[in-house]
Amino acid sequence: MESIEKDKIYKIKEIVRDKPSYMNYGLIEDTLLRVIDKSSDNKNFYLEVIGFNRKIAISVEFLQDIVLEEVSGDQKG
Amino acid sequence: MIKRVNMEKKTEVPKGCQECELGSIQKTVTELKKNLRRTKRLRVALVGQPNSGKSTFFNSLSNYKVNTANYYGTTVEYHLTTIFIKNYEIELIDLPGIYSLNYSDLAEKVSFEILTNVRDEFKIDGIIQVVETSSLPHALLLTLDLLTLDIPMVIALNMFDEARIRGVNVDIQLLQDFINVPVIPTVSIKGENTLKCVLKLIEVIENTSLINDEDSVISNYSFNIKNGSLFYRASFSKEELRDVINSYKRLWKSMVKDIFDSTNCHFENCKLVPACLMNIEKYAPNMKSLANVRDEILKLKSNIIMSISSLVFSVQKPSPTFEDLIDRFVLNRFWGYLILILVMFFTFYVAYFLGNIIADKIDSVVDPLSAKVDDLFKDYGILNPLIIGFKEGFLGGIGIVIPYLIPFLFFISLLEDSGYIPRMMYLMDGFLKPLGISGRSVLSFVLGLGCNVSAIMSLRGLTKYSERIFAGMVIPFVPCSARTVVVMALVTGTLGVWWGLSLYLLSFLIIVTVLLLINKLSKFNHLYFMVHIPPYRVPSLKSIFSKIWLRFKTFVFTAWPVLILGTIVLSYLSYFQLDRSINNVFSFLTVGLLGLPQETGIPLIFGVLAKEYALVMLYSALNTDNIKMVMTNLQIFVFSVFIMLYTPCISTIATQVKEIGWKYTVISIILSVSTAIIVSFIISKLLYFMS
Repeated sequence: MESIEKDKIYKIKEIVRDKPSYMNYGLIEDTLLRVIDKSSDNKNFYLEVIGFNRKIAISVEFLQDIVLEEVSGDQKG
Repeated sequence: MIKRVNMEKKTEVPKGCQECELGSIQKTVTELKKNLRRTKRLRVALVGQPNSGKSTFFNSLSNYKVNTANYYGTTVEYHLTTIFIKNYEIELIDLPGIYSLNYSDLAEKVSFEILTNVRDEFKIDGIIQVVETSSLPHALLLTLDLLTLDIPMVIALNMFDEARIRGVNVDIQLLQDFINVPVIPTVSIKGENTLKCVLKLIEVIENTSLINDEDSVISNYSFNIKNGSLFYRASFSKEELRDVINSYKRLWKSMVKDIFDSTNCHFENCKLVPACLMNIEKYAPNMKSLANVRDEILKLKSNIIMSISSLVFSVQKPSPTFEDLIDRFVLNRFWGYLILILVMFFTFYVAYFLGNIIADKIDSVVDPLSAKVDDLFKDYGILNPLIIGFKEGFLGGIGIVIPYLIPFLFFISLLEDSGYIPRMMYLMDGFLKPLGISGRSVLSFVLGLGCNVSAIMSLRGLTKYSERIFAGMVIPFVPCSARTVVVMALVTGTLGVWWGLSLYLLSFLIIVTVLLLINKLSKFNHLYFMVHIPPYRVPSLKSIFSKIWLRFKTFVFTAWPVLILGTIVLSYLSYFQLDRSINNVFSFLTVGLLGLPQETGIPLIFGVLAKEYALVMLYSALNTDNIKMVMTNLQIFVFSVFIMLYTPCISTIATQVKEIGWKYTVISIILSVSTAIIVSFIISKLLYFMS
């Protein structure tokens, strides 16, 4: 998860398991995430779930079940 | 308008007219009977995602006050109140926040079980879904689940004013059209439109055709699980949406029926509601294939939500927002921790500073009053201890406890409402994981600074059992407001600010050591952390004072009377010279091990009831207003260390038993008492040699 960078936007391509629990936090396939901050040890991430207008703090272990794809500038809108 | 039953209501009776009087009474009784017959009972649940303002909504409709705050999981159990509107007696239930009917912690489970009537305790007649307007798309997750329950419903778009300021626009009419549920914008903190929501819900309940027209709609829409082309559609048009939502509802129901028919599977303790499918892993772990189908339906659900959101919800905000700019400092790896330390230091220092000013003002009134009472009642024989005991307990509460308690509660409430605590969770998570707890526990520890009881109750919001046990055993070491009163009045007031702060540092070190120890001995691990971060909010004074009153009330109506009773008992023990024999029993600890005066035995017993009792009882037992006259600095400090650490108060113990069970409560008590004895002993010897 070192590859996830601050201030970049990612799209959730796939959630590998326990979709209902992720859904509770607004993490749904095809939604966009903006990385507001990440801890120095890369263990925690502070994200904005753009479509849901929500912010979450999440451990790296949870992100391991999510396949992310970086979104280029023209895809953000 | 809201009518409250007033059985003592009087009617005007003309003087000297017995017949008229009887007639009037009979008429009133008949009217009352008629009214009672006409009164219909309804049970309405306030449902919403965490931090949507349900409790504020509940408070605005009732006289009952429940705690509110700007973080997720303030309400961990349901609250009930009864209100009377029109000719309805409405039982209003404030449920713990729930993201969807797929619950993930114990607090959410309470809501799930009540809504699906698993407990057979409540049959819900109507639902008011309280939605935080700014996060409407997220709230639709719950809305779609609630629709499958087929219970009359109204949506309250709460914090509507705040959403407008944040650039949020909602097409209310279009939203209503899609979900076929009345939607009303509300500002519950000002009580705006909260009553209107209840009135609308009554209307919906009375006219059920408003919600039961789905069958006619669905009949035009051919849909089945096998031929589910809808699964693969990313979005829906305006015209399709309402039909799709109804299909979604029907889909859940037909799936549940299929499962029951084909497998004879009985979802233990779960009624035939579509919601049980959400928890399929919990109820039917061997039906993996069903979970896959469920995931496909979830995909449909998310598509519906995204489609509705794109049509009814829009946000216009600058980038970066003001909140982003604040977060850059608050969450910064250097500034973030510095701010955290400063915030906590400021909270305690200003609370102490203000407490001192209030204490001085109160002392200038209380001291002469106390002397006058002593003079007035010195020759009352056996009644004398009663009067003096009452005076000492009463004035002790005013002069010693209240001055420090109120400013401290003010700053803790300010922190709770600001939205800073969830950010503390994020900052602290990295430090806490090696100790066996996650950043989510930070909330419980901060709440523990106010009261250990509410802190232990908040553990229901933690998903991990091991984390609940760990934190539940260690929270009694967090210096609650009662102990803060002891520190501020006894240590900081007599020895200075740095001595007071050193006690907090000591508590912190002990918490870390105990957690490390438990974590080392246990086999629990894998602590993951996911938490919503709410927006920053300027705390409203009304909410802060309401919170202070809620907590202060506990002291006034629960602790203070016991405190007064305690000082009276102590006065009589002293009058009959029994106090010495009780103190003798504890002298091996107080005098032998800790080097304290023998009179400290009884205050320590009272400290088990509540920590502030120990303080007031100490003044009473030593029969002084100036503790420095009878105890050395070393003794004051050692006594305070022991009070801070030894056994949790009786209310905390009761809550621990409820939340983490007897076994771990007993371990926690043994841990506290032994830590208190060892640490106080070491400190007393260390300071003695140093001095």
